[in-house]
Amino acid sequence: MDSVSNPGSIEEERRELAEKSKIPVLPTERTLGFWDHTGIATAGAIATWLFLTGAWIGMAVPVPIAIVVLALGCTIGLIPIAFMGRYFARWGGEHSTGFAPMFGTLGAKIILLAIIPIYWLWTSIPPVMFGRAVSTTIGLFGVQPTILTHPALLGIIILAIGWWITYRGRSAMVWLVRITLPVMLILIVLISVRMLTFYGWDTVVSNTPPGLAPEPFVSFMIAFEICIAGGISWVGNSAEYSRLAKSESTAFWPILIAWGLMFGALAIPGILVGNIAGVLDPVEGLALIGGDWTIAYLIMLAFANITSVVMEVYLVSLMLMGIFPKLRWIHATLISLPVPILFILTPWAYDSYGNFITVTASVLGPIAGVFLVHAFMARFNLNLKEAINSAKEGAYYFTKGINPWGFIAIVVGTTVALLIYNPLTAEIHIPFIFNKLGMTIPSILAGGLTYYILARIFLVPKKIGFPEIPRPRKATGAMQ
Amino acid sequence: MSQERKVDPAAELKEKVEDYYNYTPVKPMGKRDWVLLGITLVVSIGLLVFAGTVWLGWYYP
Repeated sequence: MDSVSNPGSIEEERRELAEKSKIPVLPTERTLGFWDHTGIATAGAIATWLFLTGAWIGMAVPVPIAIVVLALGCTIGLIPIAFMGRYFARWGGEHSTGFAPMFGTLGAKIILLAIIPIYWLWTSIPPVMFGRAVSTTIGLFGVQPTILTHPALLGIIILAIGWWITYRGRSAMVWLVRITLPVMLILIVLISVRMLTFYGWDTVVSNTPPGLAPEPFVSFMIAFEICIAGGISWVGNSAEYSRLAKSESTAFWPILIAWGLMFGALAIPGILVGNIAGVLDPVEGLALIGGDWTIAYLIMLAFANITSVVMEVYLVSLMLMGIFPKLRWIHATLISLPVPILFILTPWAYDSYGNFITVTASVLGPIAGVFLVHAFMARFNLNLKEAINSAKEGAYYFTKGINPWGFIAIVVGTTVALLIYNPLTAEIHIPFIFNKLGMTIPSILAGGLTYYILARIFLVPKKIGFPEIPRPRKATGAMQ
Repeated sequence: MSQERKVDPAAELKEKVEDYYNYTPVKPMGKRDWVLLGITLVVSIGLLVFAGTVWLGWYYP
């Protein structure tokens, strides 16, 4: 990643300030090209969620089908997120400004406050896996468990390291990725090969997954639904790096490649854990391959989880800075810690991952639907000046700072999702819809369609929420 | 971030928002992107339908 100015200079400080707040990152301040963005997004994907999602999908369908479902299901679920990436790349902002047209200047902050707890739970997942991995590995070497090898303590330690790197800022995060990504890629390929040879190709291809439902297609659809939900769960991350991308394309495609296609290809160890070892906890499954390989996977998990922690702490801190612009960066990062610590001690999100991911998708799906519809109606345009104007005469003020139609559409979308499928019990209420589209896609469609109808009736005729967009003076030249 | 800030965040926000439209926008998505997205969608949906019906049917007829 290029540096566009000298360290310590005002330009550098301006750029760093923008990267840690709602201040838009100017086109001339962008640092991520296609490969940079793909790399940093891949580093975020190769994490606890990769192995957990793989284990849950492997538990449901045969291995070859699991790889296809994971790669392509996640890719489809990610398409709304890629469009968010495109939008944030165009305007350089983050959710508190970018969501103002869909939900209002105050409404965008309410949405963020509502989804921050989801990402606190996400933050708790990598430390739990790290703690269990280290603790299990130490146990395999015959060391008696002590307080120092307790998984929760180890998890809290890695959370603290991740916090420190996030607090240090972009340059520390970039260096972390530069070191961890190649190591992780090499190790994950080695471990995949080791697991494939350990279990044998015939077993891998023909094994019946232990969680297969009496009607196999139901298992397939539940696996598909988890993947779509996994894709849509990146709503919060959609601005994180996209706003640093040098073009709309370099924001759009890395999201689909890294969090979709690569996700499926690299999830093989997790899939095998669920499918053949028959456990949902990748730590247990990876421990079964034993020997010196336990050290290899420990290294991989350590690197994978530290980058995941950094990614989540950064995104929550960025959201907090968007809601409370006067907050200091150190305080924003510190506020991001207590709830994850609570859920490291009581790891519900980790142990009930499949339920957690689909529950959150029932809310994030409709948000994505509303976003997509408004963004396409406005041709992905945003008036930044109006997006930070919370005055009554502001273009995105709507009703007391809230766009009620956006919120109504979310409620409709979530209701549709829960009418189709109960993500907590995996009970299918309307098989006719679930067996064709799952739960999240209908919730996106219902939320988006509701918003489209309401916006056409109440917003467009009065030109509310669709202000004029200032035009650049010239189409050439990098800056004034 | 240094403790001694040279830049005031509130003023910086206002200035950059006012000034943003004076910069050449980042390069937009082009026709090639839309074609690629169309291919991605068709291939993804096609393979998923195949995996969920024909392929799964081979495993569990």
